[in-house]
Amino acid sequence: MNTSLVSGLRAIYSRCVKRLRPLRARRGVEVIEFAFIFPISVIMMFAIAEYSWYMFQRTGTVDAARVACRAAAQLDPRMDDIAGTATARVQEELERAGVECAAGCNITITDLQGDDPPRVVCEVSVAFRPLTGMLGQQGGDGGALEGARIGAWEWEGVGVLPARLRGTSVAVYEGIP
Amino acid sequence: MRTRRGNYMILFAMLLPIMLGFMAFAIDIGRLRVARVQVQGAADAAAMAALAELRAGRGTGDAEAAAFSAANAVRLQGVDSTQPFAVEVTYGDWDYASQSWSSGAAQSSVTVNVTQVAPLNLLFAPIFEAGGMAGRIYGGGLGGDKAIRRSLVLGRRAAFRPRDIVIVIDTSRAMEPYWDDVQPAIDDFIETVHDFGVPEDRMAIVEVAGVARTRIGLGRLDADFTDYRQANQDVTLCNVGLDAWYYWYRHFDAIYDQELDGRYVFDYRAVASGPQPDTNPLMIWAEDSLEWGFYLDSYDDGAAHPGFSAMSEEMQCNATAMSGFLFEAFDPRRDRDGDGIFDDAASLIECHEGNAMEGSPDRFDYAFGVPELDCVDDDLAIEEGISSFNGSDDGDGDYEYADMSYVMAGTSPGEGLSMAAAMLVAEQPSRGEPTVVLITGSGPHCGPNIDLSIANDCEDDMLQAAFEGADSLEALGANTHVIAILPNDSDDHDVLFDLTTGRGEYSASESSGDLEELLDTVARDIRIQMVQ
Repeated sequence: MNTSLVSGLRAIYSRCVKRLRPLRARRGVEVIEFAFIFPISVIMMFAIAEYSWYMFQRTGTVDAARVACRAAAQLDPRMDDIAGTATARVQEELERAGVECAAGCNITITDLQGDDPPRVVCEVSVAFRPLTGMLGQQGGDGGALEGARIGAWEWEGVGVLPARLRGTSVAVYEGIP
Repeated sequence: MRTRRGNYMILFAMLLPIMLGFMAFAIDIGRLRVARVQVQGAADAAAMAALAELRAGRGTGDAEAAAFSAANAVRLQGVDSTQPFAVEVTYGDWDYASQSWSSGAAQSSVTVNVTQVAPLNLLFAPIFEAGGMAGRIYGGGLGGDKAIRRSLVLGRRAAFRPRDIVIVIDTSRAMEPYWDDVQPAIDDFIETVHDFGVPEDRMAIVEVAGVARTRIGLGRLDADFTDYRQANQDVTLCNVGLDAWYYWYRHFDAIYDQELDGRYVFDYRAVASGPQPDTNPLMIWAEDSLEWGFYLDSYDDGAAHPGFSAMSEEMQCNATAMSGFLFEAFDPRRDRDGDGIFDDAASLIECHEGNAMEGSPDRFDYAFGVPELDCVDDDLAIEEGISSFNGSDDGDGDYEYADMSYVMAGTSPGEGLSMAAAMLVAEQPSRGEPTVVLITGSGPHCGPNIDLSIANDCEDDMLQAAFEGADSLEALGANTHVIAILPNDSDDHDVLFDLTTGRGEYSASESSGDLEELLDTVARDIRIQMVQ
């Protein structure tokens, strides 16, 4: 009874030991693999997040121009303040879309009511502020060149995202100016 | 055991294409979303531009050119800009009731499909395009085939907005010099609205001379086109013939003789000493108006005299018209030197003993001031109808007149606008955009015999009255076009002012031109809206 118990335990022990040995050896390999793959995965995840943020902001900007221009085109250019109304509407729409204007928004409303067809052109340009900065930003247009950055590391000259977001829309007046 | 080494690596290598695919998918969805917004924006602008060209009376070639340039005014970002959007325009009618489109010869609606020719720079598309998903991602144009396309196609349908148009025609004497031009111009206007607008356009005709009357109520123009044209033909100047005047005068004389203890309806002498509503309760100036509306509110409650209310509309019109003449004769504006005595009225009184001849038919000669006025002052001559004024008594107490051409009625554009407003308010809510076209005029004189330097004041007053009547239209947000035909003192050309309002507010933008042209502009002042 006792011997069988002891031999049984030994058998289990020996099985476990036999199994553990190769496991220990493999753990080293896994750590190395993980060390390779983890940064790549993280970079990809952050890149997706960053790019989504950029798209979100850009869509908001383009939409703001479109909505404001449509609203302006429904006004009567003979007496309404087209530029003022459209500008206010752009700001309102940007705010609604979660696009921050703090860094500087250029809103240009061109009232072409004398043209054929009578129309209004709305241009919106917003300084893009990246979420993490890991995709970097292109310079120019008043935006500072920023390299791609992960934590403290920065790669100069690598800029994937633009410095400014632009939205342009043209709307033809509904009424006759 | 060796085979299990590198598990993570292998797993990662296997999953990498899928992960990259999803990453591309995420990026592509973002790009497509932006692209769709921009192509849709281009389609919106193109559809509006095409219809704006048609509205301006240009052909389909111009419409397509405008659509093309409007669509391409917004270039897609991050796309080959050397390849412009392709724009396809089709014409038809939009039925608002059933929300359906039918292509055809009519051009009150357009469908524009904009194709973004340059391929979008997509990461994901090539993978699944073969699988037939691309078509769902890209979408199809409006009315076109829903085939799977490599390029983005988006459509927009725009249509003219229907209108509820009330034409208010001034039929007072002031319009007489222009009358021959007015009716054909309105006829053209009705035709243009019919040909040009949408099937749901509605129209009504109101005539105004002292009081406003509905000639034809608001109804579908396409269904009753000929009725509306005929209604316009049926409108006549408020023709206050001498018989009507005579009848009216007798009628009121009788009432007042009974009710007011023998006082005369028109106490010229009392009026001549100045506008004194208190002492002369029978004739009260309508202060805010040029109109010499005959206010039979000689009673304290200010209500119209029951005798006046009981009259037919036509007689009310005539009564008001007649009072117009009488008030006009004693218009304070005639008091040019401001001494409180009416310069012309003095001579009127002098040569006219109408009241002294109570009961005699001759007094109407005096009431008209017909022969006497001529002899006193040529400026006071009422040229038309006077020379042929021949009354004869056939013994029945009524008088027959050879010439009925003498017309005289007070204008009251404010009344017309108020009626139009009431008509439009009753229709609310309506799909039609409320629109009022008032055609009014100031005669060669501000009424007979007032010279042009004074007529200038009349213009202001007349317009003022119109503005006041338009208050409720403003509240309604109606498009109100006031076309006032005013005399030109340099030659015999009429000057036309189109006081086109904006939406709900007046702007005094002046333009002069032909009445027909002005009305044509109004007929084409249609709003365009996106319907699908």
